[in-house]
Amino acid sequence: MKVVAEPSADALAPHGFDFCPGCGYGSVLLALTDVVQDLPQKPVFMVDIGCVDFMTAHMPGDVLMGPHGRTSVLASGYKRMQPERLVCAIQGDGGFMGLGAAESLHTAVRGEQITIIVLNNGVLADTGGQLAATTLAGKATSTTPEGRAPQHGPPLPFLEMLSGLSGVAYAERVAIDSALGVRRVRRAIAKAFEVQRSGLGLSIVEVLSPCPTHWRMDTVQAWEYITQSVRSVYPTGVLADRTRGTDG
Amino acid sequence: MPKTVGTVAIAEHLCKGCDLCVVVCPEHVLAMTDRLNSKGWPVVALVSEGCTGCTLCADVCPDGVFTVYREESRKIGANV
Amino acid sequence: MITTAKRFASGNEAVIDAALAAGCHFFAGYPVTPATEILEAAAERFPANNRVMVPTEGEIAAIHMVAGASLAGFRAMTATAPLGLSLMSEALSFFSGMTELPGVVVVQQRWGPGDGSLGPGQDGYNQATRACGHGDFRMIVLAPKNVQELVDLTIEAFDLADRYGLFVLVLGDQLLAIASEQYVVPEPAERPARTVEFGQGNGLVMPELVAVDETAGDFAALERVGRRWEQKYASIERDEPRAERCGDAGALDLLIVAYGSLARIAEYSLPQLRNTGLRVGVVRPITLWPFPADAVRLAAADAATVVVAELSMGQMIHDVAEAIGRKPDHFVNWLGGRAPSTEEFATRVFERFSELRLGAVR
Repeated sequence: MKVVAEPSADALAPHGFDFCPGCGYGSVLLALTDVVQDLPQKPVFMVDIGCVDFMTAHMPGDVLMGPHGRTSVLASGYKRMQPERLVCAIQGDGGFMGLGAAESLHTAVRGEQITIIVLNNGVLADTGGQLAATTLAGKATSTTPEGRAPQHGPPLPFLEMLSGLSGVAYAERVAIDSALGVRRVRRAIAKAFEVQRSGLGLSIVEVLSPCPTHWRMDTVQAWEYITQSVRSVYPTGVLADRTRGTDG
Repeated sequence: MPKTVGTVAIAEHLCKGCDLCVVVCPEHVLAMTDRLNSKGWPVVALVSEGCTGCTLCADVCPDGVFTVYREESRKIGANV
Repeated sequence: MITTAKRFASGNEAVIDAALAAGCHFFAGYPVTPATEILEAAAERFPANNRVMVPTEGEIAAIHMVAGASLAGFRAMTATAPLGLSLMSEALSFFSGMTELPGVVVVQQRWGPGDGSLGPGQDGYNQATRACGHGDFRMIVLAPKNVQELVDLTIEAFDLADRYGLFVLVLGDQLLAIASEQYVVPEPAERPARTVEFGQGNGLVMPELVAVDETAGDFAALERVGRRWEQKYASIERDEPRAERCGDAGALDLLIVAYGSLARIAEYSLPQLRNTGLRVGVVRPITLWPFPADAVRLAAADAATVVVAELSMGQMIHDVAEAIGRKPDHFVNWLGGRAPSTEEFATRVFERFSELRLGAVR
């Protein structure tokens, strides 16, 4: 028999991932590692603070961890001076849409020639599952124990807001809630790097990622929560694609 | 019982017992065990004949536990 | 085309002459009085010299882009006021303190907390020398007194930043920003590009503190990083303090300690103070961190009284006290964004000196 699926030993070294059971972040790392194998060069990675920073040791390329929320501008500064390099910022929803929203927005406005991978798990997970910009209405978190209420505002449709900007060459939202979903993560990341290589502008992949620990669910329920609830607020699909010559 | 045309190698030390592979396996050949690995997580095992090498377990596993093997002549079992 | 001849321009414009001569290839910034003209000069002259300038949405983005450019191996800078330095502080902790990237920030001080005043101040001293950002780290702070020194120290700031792997702050003020003077820009020195390990694809994880596997609880390894930083700062404190002394030689009735534009005013007031019959000198810290404690202590050893002058409620005075081992005899200051004329300076210092002497006689 021949090998038909094999995880990257490099990504997993030295002793596997430190994410919780059923966390989607490991899937993103494995997908990213697969994609990078097919690229002509190893990208450089700028990793935000949050659960994403547990990725640093496993990244398929050189990696710098920067301040929370500002990874996009850090990556932009690097790319401006090394335009031939592939540059990728990895951020959680807390950093990308919350604390660093201004920097994320203007990175999109300027159409910086980088790829941003946003891992959206709907909570500030690294600190213990607090309210994030992306928490669904009614969802209990450690800072909204009674659930996200009207005074906390509705979940922020940030990718939809950015997708209307001419600087955003590609924006796709994918979800880790099925085997198919995981395959689409890989495809979307590959597409985003392709867009970066074509120099059309900013490429963003938002991954809806399960957080069973802080959603207080088992791992299968977390998948179902994405399928049934999260995706009705954050629909998956391609939101912007300027590789087709017209606005996405 | 379907013919066994594939198999999986399980890196037990990476498994966290999250159950996702067990749920997606269309042939129901995977099951959680009571055995704990060095990190203290229960680990999954291939418990019966019938693996088709479809790779769904490897697709969904967030921890890279599975290496999947299939007989040369077989086409991929699950498509995107 | 880089100008190397004599120039006549404001301090803010001169900063960009210095940046170009120093081989700075990247500038990002956001306008704030009194540093805005630095940004504007960069916008005009960086692209014209085949360098990159990005006007960002704010100071936070600017300092991060500077860090990114520095990580890419290029000399990079921004310019701001203490107000903007507040916004950059978190990033400076990360990139100067933790990641040890080189970079330069020119800070033109205006007085006051909050929005404050638009006039000159020296109340960014504590912020620059101690409190800029969280955690155990220091940045070298250079304090020029005139436009020529602003040029020279800005160029040197890049060298120091590269040598030690940290950000260097050039701490000016509103007077220095707008004063137009003649200055000379040195020939750009030939510098080999900084070798950068990052980006070679070897799986480098930065910064070093993050590369240590904290989840494994290896706090001994983390402490080793801290100890290395401690040694770096100790070597800077040993090798880099710099001060200038002027005025009367030998024993003094009065020693004035001041820095930056106010030190220049103090120096110009010396003839008037001497006319009162006093033997007077000025000692001027050029590096604020590391503070030139030895130079200040030596100067004070020969002086009957020591007066500290600042455009603040008293910030450098604590470093002076530590250096001379006692509280300075006088403190004179101006607030509100106002700097004294040389005559007003001399009069105020002489009044305070006389008050003390009368008090001693009584």
